[in-house]
Amino acid sequence: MKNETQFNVIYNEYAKLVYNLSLHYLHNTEDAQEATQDVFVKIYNKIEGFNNKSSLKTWIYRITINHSLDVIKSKNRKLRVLFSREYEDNDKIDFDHPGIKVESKEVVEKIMKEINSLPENQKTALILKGIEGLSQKEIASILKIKEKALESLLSRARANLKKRL
Amino acid sequence: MEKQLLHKEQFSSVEVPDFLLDKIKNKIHLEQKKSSIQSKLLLAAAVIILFVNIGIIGQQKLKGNTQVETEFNPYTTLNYSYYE
Repeated sequence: MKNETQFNVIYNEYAKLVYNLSLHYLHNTEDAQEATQDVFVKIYNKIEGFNNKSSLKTWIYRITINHSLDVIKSKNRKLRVLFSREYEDNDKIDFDHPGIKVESKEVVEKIMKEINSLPENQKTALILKGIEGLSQKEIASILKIKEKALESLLSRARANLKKRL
Repeated sequence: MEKQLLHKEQFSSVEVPDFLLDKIKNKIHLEQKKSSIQSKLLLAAAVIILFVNIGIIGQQKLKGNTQVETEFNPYTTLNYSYYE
């Protein structure tokens, strides 16, 4: 390995973030573990090209989000081929999110399934704001959009979610 | 609705399994091995193609030389009236 010590430091600092964020997107421990592995392989391969334009945390957030969205897309593609008919994506995915506290499990599960059926940027905005608890500034920087644009994205996402619930 | 129903406090941070780091390192190691095998194969293919090309060019050169020697060349003499 090129620089194992540096990699270990990054892993110790961000593994929890990557794993939990993957869980919020994929709703499944097995998939989240697989995604975390892939994200860290990507980080390892790309760390030398990281140019400090954004913070390391923002960069890792972006890699994790993009990878999770790719996993969801490929899963949906596979399901479409398997069933070759219209179906509800979320019902086919086993929901196994160990991070949801028991007292609110049912409600949160329902909301998260609905969030998953929103457009990608709305889904991401809601996850980062509602679950990760990031500031508008941080989310805007991760999504590479202006804060004003993020505000309208969030209100669109909330309105969409309201309709679905 | 999301504002009231979905918030950070409903989630607890999940611990990362201990075996994950080893798995990641194995994956990186495997990828490195794979890419080194691939680059060796590419190099071998390039060398083979180079030798084949040299062979073809050499063959054509040889063929060209023998053709020059055996073919009748009408311009070897300046006396064109010879053909009239």
